[in-house]
Amino acid sequence: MEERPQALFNRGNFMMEEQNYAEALEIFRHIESSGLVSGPLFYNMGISHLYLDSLGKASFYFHKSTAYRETADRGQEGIAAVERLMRTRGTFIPQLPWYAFFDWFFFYMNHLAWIVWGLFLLNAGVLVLVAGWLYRPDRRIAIAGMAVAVAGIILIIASVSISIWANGYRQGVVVANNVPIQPQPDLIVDEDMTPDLAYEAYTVTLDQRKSNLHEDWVHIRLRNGVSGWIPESTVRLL
Amino acid sequence: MRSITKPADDLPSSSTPGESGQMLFAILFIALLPAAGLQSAHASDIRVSASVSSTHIAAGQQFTLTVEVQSREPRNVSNPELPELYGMQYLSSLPQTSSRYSLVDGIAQMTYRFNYTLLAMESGSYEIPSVYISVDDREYQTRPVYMRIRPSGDDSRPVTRRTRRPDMFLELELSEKRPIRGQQIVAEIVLYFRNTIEVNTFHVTEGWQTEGFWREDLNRSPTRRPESVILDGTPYRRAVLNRYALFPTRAGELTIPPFSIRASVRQSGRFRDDHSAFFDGFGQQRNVDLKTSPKLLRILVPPSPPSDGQLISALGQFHVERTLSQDVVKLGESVDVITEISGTGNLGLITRPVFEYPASFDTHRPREVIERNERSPQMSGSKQFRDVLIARNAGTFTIPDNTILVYDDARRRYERHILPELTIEVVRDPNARITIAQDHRIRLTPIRGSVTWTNAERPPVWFSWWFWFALVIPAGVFAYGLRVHQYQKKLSSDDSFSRRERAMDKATKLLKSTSRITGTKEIYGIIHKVLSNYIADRINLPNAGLSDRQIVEELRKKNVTQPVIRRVHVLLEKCATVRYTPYPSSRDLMTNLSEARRLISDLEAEI
Repeated sequence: MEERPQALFNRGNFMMEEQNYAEALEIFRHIESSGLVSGPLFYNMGISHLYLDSLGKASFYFHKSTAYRETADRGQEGIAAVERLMRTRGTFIPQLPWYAFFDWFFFYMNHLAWIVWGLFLLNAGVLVLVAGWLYRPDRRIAIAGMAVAVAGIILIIASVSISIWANGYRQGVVVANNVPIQPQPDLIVDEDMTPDLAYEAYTVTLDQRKSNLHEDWVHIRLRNGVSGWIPESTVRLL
Repeated sequence: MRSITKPADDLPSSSTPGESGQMLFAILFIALLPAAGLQSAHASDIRVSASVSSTHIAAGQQFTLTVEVQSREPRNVSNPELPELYGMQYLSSLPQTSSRYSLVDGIAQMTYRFNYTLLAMESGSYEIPSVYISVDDREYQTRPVYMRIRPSGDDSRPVTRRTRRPDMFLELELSEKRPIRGQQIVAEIVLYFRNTIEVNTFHVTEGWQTEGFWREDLNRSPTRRPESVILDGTPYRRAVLNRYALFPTRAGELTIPPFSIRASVRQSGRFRDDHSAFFDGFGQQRNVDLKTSPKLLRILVPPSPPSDGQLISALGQFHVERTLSQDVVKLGESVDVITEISGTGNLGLITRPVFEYPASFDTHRPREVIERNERSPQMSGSKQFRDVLIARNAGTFTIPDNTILVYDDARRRYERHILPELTIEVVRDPNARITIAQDHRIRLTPIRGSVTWTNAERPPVWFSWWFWFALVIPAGVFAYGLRVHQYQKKLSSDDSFSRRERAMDKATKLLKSTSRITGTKEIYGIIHKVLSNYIADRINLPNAGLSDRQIVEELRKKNVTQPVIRRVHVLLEKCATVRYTPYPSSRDLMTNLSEARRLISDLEAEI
């Protein structure tokens, strides 16, 4: 099936109109595996999974579509739809403010934009500083330029540091239901102990450094702060 | 050394309880035929055996008689009835008793053991008669044990025929001589030592690199106590130090390298013999380095498998079973297809069986768990493959049957394990009040039309050129600005630096101004002034009151080269003397002006 992604995308959309969501997903997955992606592709995959009652994967693709300007708002609508369904099923958990703050730093801060702002301030500050020294010698101009440049440097260092720190964490979506969250990997949890459970469409923060130590298991933290280990196969990384 | 392992049940004399009244038993046998099945089931479960630690022993030496009862479940076992002995005697009629419960390949086994210490009295061939033992109020008997007692200090075999062995040596003993690829070989590192030697401790001196073999450590299996053996007529103690399971990973000739240990030993016997080469003093403790001989094995290729099954590289005695974690699952829930391979063999090398699953299931990366039976003297246990399936549609689905091929190394043939088909019922969650299909509040419409395609991979920002460009540019501008700023600052604050830096400009400007002057003598005066002022500025001298001689002297102090000094001296003198010349030549003037420019340029490089 060697075709242009747009042609395949159109065919997938046709399958969606025919309510053949499984076939549509097959086509969309083929495009995704070719390495070419787009916001509408992820958004339509999210809808297809939603109609196949796979809330986890629907949420996963809606989250992915929010990274594109043209589908950012629609993606948020999709996530809201999934959350509505989770509420009706009694599996929705609200996010604690402290973890919301960390999630913003890790995943929503847009480290690149802050780095670009830092570079802009640095360049502007240096130009003002040099002008204050050479072309229009004025101590106040030079100090102002230096302050702006230092602010730019601080912003760059902070943004790059947070970006590197955030690289140790990934956001993921749970794609299976009733997954016991275990205190240790490879541990058989007694059901009588009623362990915390992860449900489909839970967005989780995954600690990559810890997860790399155990094959097939990942260390996650839920939005309500509950953390532990679940099988790697039950999470899709954003 | 175990001399008899055959259970008493196999013998006609021990297949029924008691010995008397065989005729009566024959009649009773017919009468009680319905009960015979029960009795035989009871009897087949119990194995009774007797063994001695050594069947060849010298008079005066001690040895152990072991009576063992094995059963699949706990039994009421009484002490054995000891037979009368000839040529030997019991040192104590009370046995050392032990009982052990083990689970091997999923089969429970209870072992009761009675150890009696005996003393060999007279030389000759003797028989230890059957030992009677009562198990659950039924009587069983062992087979007789035959043994030979030689005179004390005498060896029955001629010395010439005997292989001379050292007092202590290390041997690698393998369970298989001609293994096939992937077959389990139990390798035991065995220490043989004479009775006069005490082994206190030992440690492995070199890592054992068994290239070509996948190795598993079996040292957690129960340790055996040293036992007495006779090697070429010489009594030795035999102790298994380490035990490994080796699995050849390729066919052909493979060599097992030597295994090296260092043992701390002591000569403790009442006598010493000719072979006591390790010691130079009675009772002295020594460290002895020992190693096994390398062993060459010819690994055979397994026969071609039949085509009607799936190979999973299993080799040994295995049982294969496939089950579901649950038969009924809710939509969206995961269900595990558990394939368990249990038994003895190459557990670690077994690969995951591949099954066909209905398209309505999402399959995820399977999990793999090995549970080893640590107490087993060989590699045994179970390996579980759990395929995680997530149901996406409600309904009843079937996973088709499958045949797994396992090569049984004992029977030397492939065994077929048929896994029956499995049925999964996927139901909608009754607790979910609403499903997607019924939820009309969802108003999400797919995006159609032309879209912009991008590459999925987005490299980090520090891999982009503009990031580094935007960092380098301000750094360069800053460095340039700082340098210029500092230069300007020094020019305004340091007079001597300022005079020195501006001397050239000042001199060039004055020399250019001569073009507007017509008087030749005046021009010579300017050349003199330019040259003397330039030198004064460069070497920080006062501009006024300097004689030509002083200027030349200062140049000498600054190590200016002699030809340049001479040229300066000549030009200054010319400027001084030309005032007294009535009509100085204008050609000379031009030459001297050029000389003044050259001199300033030359002096710039030297002072």
